[in-house]
Amino acid sequence: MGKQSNEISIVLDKLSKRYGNSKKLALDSVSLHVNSGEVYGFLGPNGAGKSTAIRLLMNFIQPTAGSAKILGNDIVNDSVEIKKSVGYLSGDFAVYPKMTGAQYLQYMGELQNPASKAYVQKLIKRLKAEPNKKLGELSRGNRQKFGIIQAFMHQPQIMILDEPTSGLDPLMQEEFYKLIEEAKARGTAVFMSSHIMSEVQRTCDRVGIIRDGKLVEERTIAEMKTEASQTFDITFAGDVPLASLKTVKGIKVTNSVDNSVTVHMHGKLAPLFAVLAKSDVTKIDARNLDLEEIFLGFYESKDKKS
Amino acid sequence: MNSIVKWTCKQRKTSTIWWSVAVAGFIFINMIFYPTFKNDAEELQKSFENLSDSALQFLGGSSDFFSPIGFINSQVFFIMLPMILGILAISLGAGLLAREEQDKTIEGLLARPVSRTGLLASKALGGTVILGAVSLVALLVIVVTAQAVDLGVPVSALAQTSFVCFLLTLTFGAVAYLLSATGRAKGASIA
Repeated sequence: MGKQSNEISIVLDKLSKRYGNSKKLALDSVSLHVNSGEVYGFLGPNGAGKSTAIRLLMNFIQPTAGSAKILGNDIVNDSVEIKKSVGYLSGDFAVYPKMTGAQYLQYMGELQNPASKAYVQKLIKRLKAEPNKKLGELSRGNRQKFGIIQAFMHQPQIMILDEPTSGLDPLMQEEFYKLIEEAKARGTAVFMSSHIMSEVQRTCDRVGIIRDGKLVEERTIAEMKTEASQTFDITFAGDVPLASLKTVKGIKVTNSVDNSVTVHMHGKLAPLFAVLAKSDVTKIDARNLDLEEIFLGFYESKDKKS
Repeated sequence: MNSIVKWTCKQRKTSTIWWSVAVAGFIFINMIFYPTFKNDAEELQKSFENLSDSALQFLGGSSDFFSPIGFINSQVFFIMLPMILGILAISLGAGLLAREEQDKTIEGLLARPVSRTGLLASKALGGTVILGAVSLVALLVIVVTAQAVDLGVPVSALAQTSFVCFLLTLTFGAVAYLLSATGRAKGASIA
């Protein structure tokens, strides 16, 4: 499970950002924290404010209100100090097209000493990167490999990753997940945005859902798994006893079509089965883990915190 | 910081070579014809001395085109060299930072432990080194060609004038860089 501890590595305190004279805040008073050795998934639909939060943490843009600290240092005033310990990969990783991969890594390595040359070579080998080709000649996925290498090469204490696996093939995604696990084991705090739910399930310990600039939900993956494991698709011979079902404590009816219903259950299951025992049930499916459905529910549902 | 200067120069290596070749070519072509009218310089000079004041103003306020110093001034230092170095300086000033912003490669630099001031200074220094290198090539070609055509102007005078030319065009580049960094030229601002 890695070296997850209660030591807070990243903390956002009512962090807000307004672009220009826009009436709407791109990031609206977001507060959260990431512990060392924890992988925090920052999720949300396009334009929700994920990249804005990441760009604020990297001090590419300055906050309108609120503050944030990384390893106890203020993101605005101590940005240079912070970046000694940060590995960053942007959503649209940009390269110098005329440089080779090796030259690019040398350049970035001169600005931020890698852990060792041997470690960089190991990363190149693991990701099957092509260091002698010009970056402009590489496919998006192959360029992305150099993005990952430059983010990991100095074995940082903090990783800030914006959709890190975009363009990577499944084998390389798998290698990336292993790198994340290794970073976790070293105690690295990872703040990562992603649209790939399987990736989030696989790598994250906790997720925050952002919509319209606001953090609307924060859960551990373990909590989500519990919720997901208590999802039932029930088919009745006759009408769905919706009224009776809704009286069950901890139930949430998510879908009801004809004589079928989908319910999420929190807590004990006995009250649900007591109701079902009184009805003519023809089929019950306890569905396998499906976090994607829950994530999509968060994306679509109304703001729960406001 | 030194790395940014080094890699800025490395990235512009090919274009710097081409700029140097162009400057050298222009200087050489303009100076190589000096021997063809060197012996008639006095008579040619007299014909220009009879020009009206307005015509002289049009020619830059001087009628000295055929003495060694007048020749090098009119052919190299008066328009040609400042113009070529000026174009280079302005293109460097406007492009060095704006290009990084446009291509979004600047994020890769700002993600490192490099201050904004450090980045701005390094890029400016990189541009100055490139401009300096092309100016130095220009000076070398001027000195060598002056010797070849037996111009008879002291090397120190050529070096001083070339240096002033470099400083003048560096000012143009600095203005372009300032505008670029504050977002008034192409690209957005990081300042």
